[in-house]
Amino acid sequence: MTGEPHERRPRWLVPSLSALTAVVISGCDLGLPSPITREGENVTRLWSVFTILALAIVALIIGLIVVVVIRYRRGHRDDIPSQRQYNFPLEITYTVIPLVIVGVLFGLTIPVQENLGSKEGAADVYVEVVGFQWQWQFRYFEDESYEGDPRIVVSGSPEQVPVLVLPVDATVRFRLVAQDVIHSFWVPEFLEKRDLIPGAETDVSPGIDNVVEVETTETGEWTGRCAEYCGLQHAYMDFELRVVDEAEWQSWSSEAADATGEEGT
Amino acid sequence: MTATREVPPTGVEAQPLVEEPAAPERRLSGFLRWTTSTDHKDVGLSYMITAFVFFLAAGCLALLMRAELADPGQEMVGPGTFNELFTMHGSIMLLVFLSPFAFGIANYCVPLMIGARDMAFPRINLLSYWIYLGGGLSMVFGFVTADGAADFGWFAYTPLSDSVRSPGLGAELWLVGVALLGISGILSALNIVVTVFTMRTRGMTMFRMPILVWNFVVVSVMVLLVFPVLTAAAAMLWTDRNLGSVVYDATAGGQPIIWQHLFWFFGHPEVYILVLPYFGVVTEVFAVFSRRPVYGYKGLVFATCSIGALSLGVWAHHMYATGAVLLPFFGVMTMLIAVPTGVKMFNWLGTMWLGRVRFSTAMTFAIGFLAVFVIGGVTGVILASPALDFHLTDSYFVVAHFHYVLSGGAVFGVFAAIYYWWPKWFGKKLHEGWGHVHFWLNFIGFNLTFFVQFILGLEGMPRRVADYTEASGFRPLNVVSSIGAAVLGVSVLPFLWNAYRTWRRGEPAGDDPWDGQTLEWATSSPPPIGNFPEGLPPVRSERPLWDLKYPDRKATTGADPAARKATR
Ligand SMILES: [Cu+2]
Ligand SMILES: [Cu+2]
Repeated sequence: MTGEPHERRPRWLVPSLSALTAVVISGCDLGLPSPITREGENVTRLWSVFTILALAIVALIIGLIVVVVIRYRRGHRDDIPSQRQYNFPLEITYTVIPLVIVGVLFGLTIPVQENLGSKEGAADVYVEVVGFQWQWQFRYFEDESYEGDPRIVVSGSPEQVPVLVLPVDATVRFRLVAQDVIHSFWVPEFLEKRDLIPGAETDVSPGIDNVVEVETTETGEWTGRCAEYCGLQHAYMDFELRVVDEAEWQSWSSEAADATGEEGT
Repeated sequence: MTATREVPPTGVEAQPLVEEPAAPERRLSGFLRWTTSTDHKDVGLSYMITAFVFFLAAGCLALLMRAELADPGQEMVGPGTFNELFTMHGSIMLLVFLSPFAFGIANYCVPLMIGARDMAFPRINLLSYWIYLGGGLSMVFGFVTADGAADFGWFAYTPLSDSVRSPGLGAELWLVGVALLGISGILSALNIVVTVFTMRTRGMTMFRMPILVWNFVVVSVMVLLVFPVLTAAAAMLWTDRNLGSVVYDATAGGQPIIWQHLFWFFGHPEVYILVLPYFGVVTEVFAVFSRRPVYGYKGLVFATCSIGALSLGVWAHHMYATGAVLLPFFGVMTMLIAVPTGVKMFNWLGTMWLGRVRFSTAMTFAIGFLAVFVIGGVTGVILASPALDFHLTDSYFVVAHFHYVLSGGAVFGVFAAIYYWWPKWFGKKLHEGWGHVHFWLNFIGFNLTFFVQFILGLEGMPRRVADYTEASGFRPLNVVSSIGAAVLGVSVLPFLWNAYRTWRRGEPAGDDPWDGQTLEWATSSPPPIGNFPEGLPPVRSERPLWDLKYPDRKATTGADPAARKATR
């Protein structure tokens, strides 16, 4: 930009405003773990909008409290102040503005949340996540019907934390199944979780197995946890997530399929 | 009984005032008064003192948990005991402390504030207290049974709470306790509604009632709508466990999710049932200590009513992650609650604005309430967004959020009420210096304990875990949180000392120590049986006592001409 900036404008305003915009646009994490899925990136962006707005509102209220505390403290002026009780235009203003803010936030939420739902079409990997007190089992299937014997089964044991291996840059569909009580499947870096609810589809009740789909974007190792309180050993119901590149995925999956087949026979 | 009636002075019987008692009755004292007095002030104090004892007990459970979580690994208690601790901490704080304490305030203050002699049903009032005490004790007695107290979390999700996964007497006692507390709450709410609708003094129209009374009306209606659902849900769980019914049993075609719907249909309004009374408390405190009328009184009443109405349609925001609820509906309904809540905040600020703010301990707690409640409020809007809640739910973020609402919000309101009405209850003022020590320790300890929990939740620490690994990196913030909890625990000591020294040698408070505005300050401290032996000031606005003291400074709708003259 050329030319002098407007003289009246406070010097700090431009840099701080542009910093704020930069933060919003880049989707600064603001405390969230950085996402490892495509879906998570949207959540991060939504989170920064909500959080910056929340911080602004907190700052406004605390600021007003500070003004009251300093300016209207009963000190040298111990008389009876204005007894004005109503200011209709003002009251309408502070009713309508929050209403607008809520409308905007809700509008921003909808597309992100729809993107987190179950999806149509084929995925690259199908995993059935089975939770039971207090362990996980991961069953890899060939297609979205989740029928027949799983190709790979990974089970945890008291000595061995179960490892969920996934390929990078792939869409992975999880079907969440509980065998006893309610559990919840949470990899914090996914920025989403869903419950595993017991009770399969019967003639009197609809099936309530949740489906989650993510597109992995990064290789690495992370910890997953059970988030729904499920009894005595709930705190220890962890698993490991390992997202690997294509070559490693091929070698792991054929090895694991062989191991599963041997166990089955 | 040996108590004799005083002989009424001559001439009293000739007066046609049938509403007034013939003569003040001699008061019983000690145990007999506690067990038999149906005076609303005695029942109110019984409620509050009992609830406060439960508060201290549940606080100790929390301190044990924070001690265990200060370090990875199992040090003090195993996971089994830890699960009992957080279950009972939540159950006691919500069901046996916060809402009964509010009923105590209602019992004491509502009749006084509307100029009535007592509650509408004094004996039902005493009965509901004893049912409450029975329910609370039955829950706590779980600790002395062989298998320990209930350990399925305070919302007792099925199937974890069924007879297979949670056998044992502690769980049974918990269910009995919930049912009893539900019945007690229903009786109290009924009593409050009937009292307010039928016993207001002459001139006390609905729109001249103090905001606190309004809030109790709304809360009581909500209790009447949702407590029966809780009691019924608990009864069905009890029959599932003991009589072989299969309401929640998935293996027999039942639905475990039904429990969540029923529980949260009670559970979410419950949050507002817990917090609205304290909204009322701080409203009174803000007005009195600013020497101002309640700003936007009618808007505030409307905001309370709409919070009450909306809160009946948002229960499933606790269930987004079940994948079994209509996300947009519950999302928008929940966010909408922020609007009337925001209106309230601006009305409170408007009450103090232009005022002459006096920082008594009660006022300091009320301002502290406002400062922390706004954080609880905005994080509530964040959690209302299903897209964000999928990450945040069941994490420490939620724990931090509801402690900002209930432990910061409501408990600060509890202490504001205690410091504000103590002179009325006991005729003596609490020491203001110790009060401020109490406030600052409480405020600092509270924020230290719970603010870091927001970050822990974001980083991925689930709630209700007895332990975490060193590798998780949760340790430093947990240490901070535990130190904060210790400060929070210590903060109660100056209060207890303050109460003790006031009881021993507090200065007499007089009838109206704070330059009050409402009717409870128009009688002696404490008021006699029958409340207003010398009659009542005329009620022509929601500030009858203020009008009596400052007849030429009534509240104005537009700019106040008298104030303009004064500042000139
Ligand atoms: Cu669990
Ligand atoms: Cu809720």
